[in-house]
Amino acid sequence: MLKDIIDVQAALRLKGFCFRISSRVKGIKAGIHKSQHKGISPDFLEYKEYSYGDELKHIDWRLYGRHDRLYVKKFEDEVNLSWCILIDRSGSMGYASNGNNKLDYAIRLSATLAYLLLKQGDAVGIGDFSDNDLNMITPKTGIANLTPIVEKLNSFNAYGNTELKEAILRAIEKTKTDSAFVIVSDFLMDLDKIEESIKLLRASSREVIAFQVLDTNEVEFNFDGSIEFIDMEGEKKILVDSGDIRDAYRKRMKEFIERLKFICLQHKSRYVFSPTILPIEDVLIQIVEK
Amino acid sequence: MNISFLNPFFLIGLVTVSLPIVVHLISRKSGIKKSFSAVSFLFSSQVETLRRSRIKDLILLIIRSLILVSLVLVFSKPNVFSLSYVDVNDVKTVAIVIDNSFSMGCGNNFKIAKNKAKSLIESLADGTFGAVIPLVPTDITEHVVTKDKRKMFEVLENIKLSFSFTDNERRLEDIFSFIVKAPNNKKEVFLFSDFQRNGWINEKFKREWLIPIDVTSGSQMQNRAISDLDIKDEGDATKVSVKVSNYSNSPVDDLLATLFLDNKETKGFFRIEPRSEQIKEFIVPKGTLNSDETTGKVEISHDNLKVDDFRYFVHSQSKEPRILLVDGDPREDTRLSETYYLARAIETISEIFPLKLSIIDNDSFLSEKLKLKDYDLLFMSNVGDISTKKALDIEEFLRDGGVAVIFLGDRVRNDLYNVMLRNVLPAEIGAISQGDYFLNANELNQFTDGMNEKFRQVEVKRVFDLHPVKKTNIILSTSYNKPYLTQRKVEKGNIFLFAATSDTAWNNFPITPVFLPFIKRTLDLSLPKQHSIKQLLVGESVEIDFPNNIDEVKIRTPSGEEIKVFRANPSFSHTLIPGIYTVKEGDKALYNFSVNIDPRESNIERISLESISPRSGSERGLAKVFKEIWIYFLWGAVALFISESIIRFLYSN
Repeated sequence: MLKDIIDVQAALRLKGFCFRISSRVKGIKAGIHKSQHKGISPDFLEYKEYSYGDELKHIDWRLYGRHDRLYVKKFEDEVNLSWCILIDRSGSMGYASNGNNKLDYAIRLSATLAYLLLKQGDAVGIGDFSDNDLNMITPKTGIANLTPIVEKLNSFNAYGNTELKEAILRAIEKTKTDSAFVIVSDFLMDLDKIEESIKLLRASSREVIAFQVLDTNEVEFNFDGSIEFIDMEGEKKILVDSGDIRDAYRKRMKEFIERLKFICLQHKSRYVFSPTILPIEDVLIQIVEK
Repeated sequence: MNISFLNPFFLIGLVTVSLPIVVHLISRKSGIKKSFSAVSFLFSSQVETLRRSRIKDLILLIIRSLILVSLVLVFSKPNVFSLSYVDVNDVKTVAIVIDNSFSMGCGNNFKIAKNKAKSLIESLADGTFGAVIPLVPTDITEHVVTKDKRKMFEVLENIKLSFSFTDNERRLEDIFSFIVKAPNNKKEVFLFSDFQRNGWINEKFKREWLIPIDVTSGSQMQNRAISDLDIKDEGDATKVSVKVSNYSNSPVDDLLATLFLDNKETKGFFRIEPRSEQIKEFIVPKGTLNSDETTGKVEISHDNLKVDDFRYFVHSQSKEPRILLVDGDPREDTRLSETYYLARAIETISEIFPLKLSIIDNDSFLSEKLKLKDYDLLFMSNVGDISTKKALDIEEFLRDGGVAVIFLGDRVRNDLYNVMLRNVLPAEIGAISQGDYFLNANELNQFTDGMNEKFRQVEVKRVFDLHPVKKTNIILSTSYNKPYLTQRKVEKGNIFLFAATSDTAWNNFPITPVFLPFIKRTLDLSLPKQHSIKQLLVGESVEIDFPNNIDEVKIRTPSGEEIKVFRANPSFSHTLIPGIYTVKEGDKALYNFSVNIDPRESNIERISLESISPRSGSERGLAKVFKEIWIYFLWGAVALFISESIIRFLYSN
């Protein structure tokens, strides 16, 4: 079962890499993430003029020889991080052009990421959102937490509408501050709502990584002839000549993606374009520390 | 132009035109259904593509339908045919006559006439001879009967509108006589015309060989025209009388007429009842005119026929005739003078007709200071002495258009007169004879017209015997059949010779009622030298006046063409267009004359076609001339197919 949803090839390839976040966090266990507290990790942070109470062993004697003044070295403290992976399982995520459905892709991406994060000692929780529902496993450390996560992922079906903001609000309640949020969605919704959601997370000191999972047809619109399209999240229908509308559609989709990227950048969040034709390792490698 | 089909049953295929429409409608309603995640993007994209897409659909729909129509027409083999008076199998000789009178300039009539004639030439059977001839004779006087259609087209193209008037019936008879000599037994004359009454004198001009072809829509055309213009001096003003005719059946209100004279404009309005005319006078003070000879025109607001909305004129301001009286026997008591009665008669005339009178004696007359060219009329009464120089002066005076009246008397030496004035005298002067005569007028002479009976009241007691020379006109004779008054034309001038005196010594002529009218008529004769209103009609000839010592002049036409005219042949007939013509010596303008169109052409009332030809019935004798046109539809279908492909390609990219 694990093999079914975890991309083994991706997991093997990314095994030695670290998934880090850019800001400092308040961890409780020793981990790989930079803490807000100065500590004892081998990573040098800065020099400080010696004052009473400082550890003598941290005095840099070479600097004293050069400047005739006492300085002590200060080091980074490293802690573990709490990750919350939110997966969009609204109706639109059920779209598949070549049998490769977006929700399946999102599940495999999330499972692989969860596995790698648990392996590096971080706490990982997972949640799915659709309509106003949010079912969530709260972040926990230890590889043993992978089993409930995978079971949860296996139960996902695509239905309903995307209500990102509601899901975020509920997820904030269930997670501690200084955690990282990974949102895996097609983000085919109102951009203003997306921006509001990211703002909420950033305001509560949470890092955000947005994986936009899209099908090739959603980007390229490679349809031909006269087609009546039915909305997967509602009752809307439209009859179009694919050839006539293709250019305008591509232009609008491109604008939408660019705008989403800009919103993420504006709010110091990461955006990762994740077309379903791209191998998961190629997607995840974009967020590892090189 | 009519259309027929060789395979009309193929026209059923036109129902296929509905195919693209049906396919279009079906395809719009039955698109493949697909679930899609980004439908909202399709809605927003469709807004900007919908209009473009609809236009494309419409264009393609029309083109596809037209392709089908074209293909159906190709298979049904359409032919166009025109009804022609010429059967393609009928070999004959025809004259194609184009009415080029100026009334044909109304609307597009002239162009239509040419196009119809062109179609006729095209449909002439092989072996048919044809001659293309203008109804109004123009410069092209040589007509050619030919089988070569290209030559016929060439002549047709060169026919221009003429401003002349012609007698249609006589002209058509001439044309028929011309083609009678040509090959083929059957002869016909086709006349393309607007059939207006003006050129037809005999409305029952029915000829079997004449086929009239009406180029108008048949409706009555409206026209108004300046039909006459008169200009004369009255006192200190010049009066221009303009007659405007309304040839239509509706009244004309506030028709603006403008007189252009000496760069000045005078405007007036006409209000004319249907089919009537009105005369309006424009008064121009003489003082405002710049020169003795002025040119001008009158113009009315334009209608369909513009050419008769103008009238040109040349006006020479009249001068008072200058009269010289030479008294050969002056007396202190003027009543006893030779010229007493003459002077009184001239003074009486001057009260109604301004003139300038000078009375001199014989010595003054012989003086070298006296120039006869300063006078228009010379009276010599009992003048005894004439010098050689003066005799030559008199000759020149007469040749230049002067009028001389010689009264004899006891001072006159007949031998001196006979020698000195032998080149101009109307009669050799003989001896004096006495008697008791009265006078007889020559009834054929217009000079005494209306006064013949009154001359019988003249009593004559003494006369010189006159022996008329050749070309002398005897106006009055005595009751003994002796010439009393003779007249001779000397080039442009006239000389009158009386056998008696101008006083009452030899006769009572000066105190009879005929004396005053006679003097007035003599005076009138001298007027042409003073001024002439030279108004000609298009096509009329004019004798050009040559000033002394000039043998060649140039005449500048309104179109700017310059034509030489020589004294040896002074006739000028190149008056083809209306306007002002200028006679020039080198670059110096001598005088002008005006040419106007014949107002008879302005009456564009139509005649009945039936009245001029028994063959004018609507389609009698018409033959169908076919022309296949399916090939055009085939090319059209190919072109449409290519267009459809290009449009589809452009839109898909």
